[in-house]
This record gives sequence, structure tokens and C-alpha cells, in this order.
Amino acid sequence: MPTAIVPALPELGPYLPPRVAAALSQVEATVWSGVEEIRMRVGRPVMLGLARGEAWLARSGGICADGDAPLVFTPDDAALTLDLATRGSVYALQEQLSSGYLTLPGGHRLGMAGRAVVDGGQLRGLRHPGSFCLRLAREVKGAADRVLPFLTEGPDCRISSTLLVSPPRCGKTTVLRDAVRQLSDGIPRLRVPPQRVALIDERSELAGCWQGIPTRDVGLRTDVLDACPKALGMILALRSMSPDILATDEIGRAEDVAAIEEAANCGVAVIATAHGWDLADLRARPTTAELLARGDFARLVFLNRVPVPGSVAGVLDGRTMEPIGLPVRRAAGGTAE
Amino acid sequence: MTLYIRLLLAGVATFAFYRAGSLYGLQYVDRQRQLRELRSSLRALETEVVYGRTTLGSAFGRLAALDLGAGGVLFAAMARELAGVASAREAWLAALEATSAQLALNEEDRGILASLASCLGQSDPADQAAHLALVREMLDERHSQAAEEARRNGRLWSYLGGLAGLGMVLLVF
Repeated sequence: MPTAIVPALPELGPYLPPRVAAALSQVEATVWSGVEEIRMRVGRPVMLGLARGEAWLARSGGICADGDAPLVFTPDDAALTLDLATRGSVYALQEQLSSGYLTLPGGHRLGMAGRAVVDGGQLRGLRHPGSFCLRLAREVKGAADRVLPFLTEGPDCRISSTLLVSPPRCGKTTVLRDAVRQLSDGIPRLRVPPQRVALIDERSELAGCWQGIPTRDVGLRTDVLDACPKALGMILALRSMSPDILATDEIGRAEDVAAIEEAANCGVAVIATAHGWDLADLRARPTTAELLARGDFARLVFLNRVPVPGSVAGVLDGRTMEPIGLPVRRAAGGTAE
Repeated sequence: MTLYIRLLLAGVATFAFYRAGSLYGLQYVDRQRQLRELRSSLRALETEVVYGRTTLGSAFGRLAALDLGAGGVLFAAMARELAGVASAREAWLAALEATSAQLALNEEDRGILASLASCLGQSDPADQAAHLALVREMLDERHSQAAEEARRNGRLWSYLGGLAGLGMVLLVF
């Protein structure tokens, strides 16, 4: 049975304006457990994105009920949010800021929008951010339980290269994190011995590294390359860490394809995720189409959020494209990841 | 015999006043030294910010552990304020306030340092370097003035002390 570890408010409080943190502290535990994101836009009410629907924060604290005044996010709140999220050190996080987000301790991701600072055609950062989206990273132990049986091949339970595919918000990252943890620690019920895993965590969402140390449980034998571009990280890990498995999130660039080919040539299994609704969607994109054509992934696991995020919608053999276990349905749900 | 004792007391009193004047004049020397230390400390901070890309909390914590004199005092206070989840602006102003009694700086010196509050940590490394260089330059100017004041006023207060001592001896004896 998967166990969700919900981030506690004290983990987020230091990065939110005090009045927002105070209002959040009065949100009921049952509601808080379903919060997926917190959206803060200047001049508009602070909004909580829930597993089902959304809710506004009340100025008096907790969720807005009928007649309650909503908590409106002010320009001062926005400036303070940036200051707190960067720990007063914009210069130290310039590279991340130019990607439009910051990863907070615990792997929570603070996306932002505002006035772009462009220099020589390159985005250098954002000035006066007016919108923030704090996506809460959740650790769900056991989230990969339904996926892992499809990852082994042969009598020696060898791990197959696997691509986890789903639309946004269907739990790919959560499933991948848990798969990494279980493979790293070993899975006796599947007769899978402990594996050396190199985790390339470009956006610090998987291991939630803080100053190079994972804050999420990613297993005893997992080496994390934090904030490292995927393709570069995969090659680096292959050369330096001699892993049994390479794991990474959201592949899709041409250089990722070359790195995965390199890993396949070295006999290292790759477990990765990719955005996509179904097989046709993957084939429509040049990079994933190339990976499928070469047969680099032995398994394609499609996820959706029905009945819960991370549910297996279907599994295909990556070489024959024949279904394994479940028929592949078009994935349901998802808006942004 | 009585004359010798009186002369001895007169000498002691004059020296005591001279020394008191010298000690008072030392604050000018302290200010000069502290301005120099602050200037060097800001250079060290610039290195952490521009080359180390260390966050302010870590940078101030690390620098506070070094022997930076007045800069170390200010940076230690800043590290404490930042640990209390204050914004960088609030923390810098609070640190200046908290250390005002420990430092021999005047209002204008503190004003120059306070001007960092609005920009500290809030921009890219090149911009931070420019702000820190500007403050260092202003402190440099203040340091030159302080050196002149220390030379002039330090000696002046010693003489005034000595003269006051002599005056008192003449009045009493």
C-alpha cells in the first residue's frame, strides 16, 4: 500500500511570506494532504491547487468559506517571496532563475513569472516576479509497486531499460523516485538484488538535494548528480560511478538520445520518464520516436491519474510494441508538471 | 618634603589628564582602523558572492569566523539575523543597529553601509560586485578623512588633556 509523505508546513514556511505561512498553518490537515501546489499572483487571492479542484486561502487563515475575505497577494509579498526563496542571494541562483524556477530544500519547486531580463537573446532572469507557483514534492513510498514487476527480464531478474510515460501531473516523478529507492535497496519479493543507481536530477526534484545531500529517500546505493544537465550527467555517471542503472526525469532533447544510446552500449539500464499521452504521441516527436525505433527501451510503461496519480494504464514491450499485462489506454488527467 | 609630595601629585595629575585625553583621542584611531577592516571585509564578501556564489547566510557565517576585526563583528551579527528568517534587507539594517555600540563609526559611515541594504543579494554577481565596489570606494574616502582626523584630533585631545591637568594643578596648588 503506497504511503504518501506529505510535506509539513514548517518545511515550506521559511520560504513564504509570514502572512501566507500563517494562513496556511490554519488549513485543516485533511485539506493540506491533498494540496499539490500553491499559486500566488500579485493582486489576486492565494490559491491552493488540490488533487481535485482548487481553494482560496482566507485572510483570517484556513480555506475561504462563504463570506470570508480571501488573502490577496501583494507586491511586497512577491518581493519577500523572492528574497526568502533565494535566501537573499539572487546572484547564487542566477542560473536556476534564468530557467524560471527555483528548487527549494525538499525538492519543492517554485516556478515564477514576471518581467524577463534578456541579454543577447538569452533569458538572464526575471525582474519583479508577479506570479509564483509552488509545487509540493511528495514522496510516496510504494508508488512504484505496480510498475516494478514489469521492469525485470529473464530468469536472473535483470532490470530492463524502461520509459515511464504520462501526461503532466500523473505521478511520473513520484513513481521514478520510488522505483529508484526500491531498486537501490533491493526488492526481495521480485528477487531483484540491490543495484547501484546513478540518479541524474537536473531540476533537483527527484532527490530534493540541498547542498548536494538528498533530502528524499532515494536508496542506499544511489549516487545523485544534482542540478546537472541530463545528457552530460548520464555520460559523467557512466564514466565515474559505474552504475547498474541510470535514472533521470523528463527526457526529450536530442542530446538525451545520444546519452541513452551510450548507456545502452555500456550495458547499463536506463529508467527515464517522458511526457506523452500514448504511443502515437511518443512517435510523433522526433527524439522519442528515434529512441523507440532503436529499441533502447525494453519497456514502455504508461501512467495516468485514475484512480490515483501513478496508476499503470498499460505496458508495452519496447521492441515489439506488444502489450504486456494490461492493454494500453489513453492516459487520463493532467495539466502541468 | 611637602614640596616634593606636591610636585609628585602635580605630575601624576597632569599625566592622568594627558592620558585621559589620549584615550579619548583613540576613538579617532579606532574609527580609522575599523573603516579599513570593513573595506577589506567587503572585499572578502565580494569574493564569496562573485566567485564562490555562496548564499548570504553561508558567506556571512564563514567570513564571521575569520579574523576580520570590525567586519567580523558586523558579519557575525548579519549571519545571526539571517538565520532568524529575516530578509537580507532587514537583516543588514538590524545587524548595523545591533553593532552600533561596538563599532566606532559615525552616522555617515553607518549610512554608507546601510545603503547596501536595498541591493545586497538582490541581483546578478556583476551587479553585486559593482554595488560592493561602490561602497568600498566610499569607505575608502571616509578612511582617508578618518586618518586625517585621527592625526589631528588624536594629538589635539592629548594636548588638551595635558593642559587641563596643568590648569587644574595651578588652580589647586
